Amino acid sequence: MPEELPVDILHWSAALLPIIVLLVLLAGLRWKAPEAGPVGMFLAGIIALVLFQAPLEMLAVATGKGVWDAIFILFVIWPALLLYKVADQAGAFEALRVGISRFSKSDLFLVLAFGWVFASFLQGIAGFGVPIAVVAPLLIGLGVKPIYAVVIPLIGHVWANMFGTLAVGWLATMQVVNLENPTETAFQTALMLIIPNALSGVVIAWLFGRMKAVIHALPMLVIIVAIHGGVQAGLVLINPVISAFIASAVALVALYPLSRWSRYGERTEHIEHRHVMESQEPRKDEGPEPVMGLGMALMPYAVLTVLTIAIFVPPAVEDFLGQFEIGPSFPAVETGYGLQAEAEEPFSPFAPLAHPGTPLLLAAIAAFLLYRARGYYQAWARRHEGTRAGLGGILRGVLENALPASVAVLAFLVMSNLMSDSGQTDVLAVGISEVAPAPVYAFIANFIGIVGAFMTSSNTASNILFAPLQQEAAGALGIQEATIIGAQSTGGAIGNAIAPANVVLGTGTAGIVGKEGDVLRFTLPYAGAAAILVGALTLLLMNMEFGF
Amino acid sequence: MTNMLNTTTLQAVSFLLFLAALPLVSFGTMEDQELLWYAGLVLIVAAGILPPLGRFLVSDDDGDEEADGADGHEGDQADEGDPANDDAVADDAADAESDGAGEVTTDAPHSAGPIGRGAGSAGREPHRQRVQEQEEHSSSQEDDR
Repeated sequence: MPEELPVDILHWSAALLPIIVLLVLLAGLRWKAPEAGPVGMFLAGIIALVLFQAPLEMLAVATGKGVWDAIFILFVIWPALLLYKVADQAGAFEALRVGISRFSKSDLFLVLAFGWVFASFLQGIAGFGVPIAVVAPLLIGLGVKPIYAVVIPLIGHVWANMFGTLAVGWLATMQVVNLENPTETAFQTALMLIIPNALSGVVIAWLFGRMKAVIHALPMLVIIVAIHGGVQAGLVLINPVISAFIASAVALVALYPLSRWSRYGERTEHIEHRHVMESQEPRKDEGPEPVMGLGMALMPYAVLTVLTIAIFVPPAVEDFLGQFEIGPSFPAVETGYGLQAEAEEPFSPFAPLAHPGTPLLLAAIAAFLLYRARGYYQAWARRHEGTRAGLGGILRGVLENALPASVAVLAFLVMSNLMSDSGQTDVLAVGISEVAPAPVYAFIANFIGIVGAFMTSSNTASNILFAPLQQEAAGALGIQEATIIGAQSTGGAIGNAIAPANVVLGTGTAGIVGKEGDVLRFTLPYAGAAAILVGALTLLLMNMEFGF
Repeated sequence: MTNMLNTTTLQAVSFLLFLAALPLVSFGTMEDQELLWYAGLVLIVAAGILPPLGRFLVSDDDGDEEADGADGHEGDQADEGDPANDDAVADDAADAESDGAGEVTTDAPHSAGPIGRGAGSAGREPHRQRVQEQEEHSSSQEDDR
């Protein structure tokens, strides 16, 4: 970062303004994300131009990079919506609901199983918003209210962000900072991630039925947290790349014996008010008879899981499929303060065949062909009045939900790049590190990670942006590097619960675009509580070494 | 305002403008073609203006949603975000059902969301479609005036 970059109260406040305005518009005034996003985008651009001496060419390059970053996310949103519509129009969600009700009658167990354990598993292998895009419609199929169906996977998957997607966040961190003791850092990070994980389980149960539900879910919460946290913390010492994947897969397997326990197999009669469910009454099968069985309804998700593992787990397959990469090029640009964005040829290329959207797309195509061959679309359209059978209905549904989500994601990512390339992001982080004494900095280190993830919707991007600064600040303040990088990484994970692009991903696939503010009103307090607890743990760990 | 100008159209145009800007900006800045990247920047500005503009100009079913908020639901919604006041959500549902609103997606009363929400969902979509058609019809009539 150039020394000329002005770190003063005026520039710091101005850099914070786009984030504050975005939050106020979304959560305070309940603007829809595609309307609020561009306002934040314009504000970031004007501040870059007026206060950060950004030339117009720099703004053009930053907006281009933002559009390209958004395309990466849109390649998850569109196939995820397609998968959802393909299954929904064939009546798969009704079949899923009826089939799973026979498997376990406890809605609390099912909500935790899908919204927390299955979402974490998907984050372990796929990431990039797939858990939210896939689980939100599944929860709606189980009878969960749409807003909760978005909130639950948003907070349920966060702990797996850092070491999920085969530890892409960890690997990226290792690229941008030269860690003194990577094993110690990975272990402390894994310890801190237990906090958002445990909090997710407790909050989901609490949302479901307040304290009665938490008490009822307690054995399950303890077992799953022990598996998620214990297995991950143990495996990061050996191989961080597979730690979240194995931990979340073991927890997924543990669901079966848990469901055999009458505590989680039977309906929870004593929880009178099930706040997250559409209906307070036990579901009666008075609707149209499902046209398929549970196995057939779950087929797209089984295909998705198998394809994702096949593509992303064996390094040889991913390396082979990752050979073909595409990406636009951008020249080097510099602000008047000397902050330079290097030339990138190509910028942030991605391999379409090894992209998380590809298994989603393939699963959707496979499901569509199979469901059509077996006549489910026609059969469900006959039984369920209002369903438009066939490809036209599916594509129309995808378009209606994907467009607003896409515009919002584009605006958010352009705003993020404008702030990053013009130096606003640096000023925000440096401003905090320059004025805070060591204990205060340790406490708020994870908040910086949250801001990074809020802006970029990515734990990885948050660490790329801020891990070098955090390392520098830790050195200057005499705080243990492993603890501060752990706090940054954990904050980056937590920030995914409130990142507007993630929220829109959920509201888009749940069909409630425009309700982002309602979702944030649940996830913001969660993120705040998790950040405070992680801050407290950081204070505790800042001078403690585990000796790895 | 014509019926052509609805939220979906604005968002579709905005989406396409965002995408169209990328090659212009990339090629224009790489090849030092000022006109091209200026054009890309203009497209981004246009893409960004349309969605918020639609908030104030378009009066389709979205506008009705806000009208609902004004007649009392907004206050309830404000409480609903606070987990401590979450009972308001369920109360809304109960009220809506007792009002004969049929099957209600409580948190998103006007959502065009992915349905198939179990037994209660039968017949919901045709009802919603009819309501939307009526709303769009009356909206376009007002616009035409």
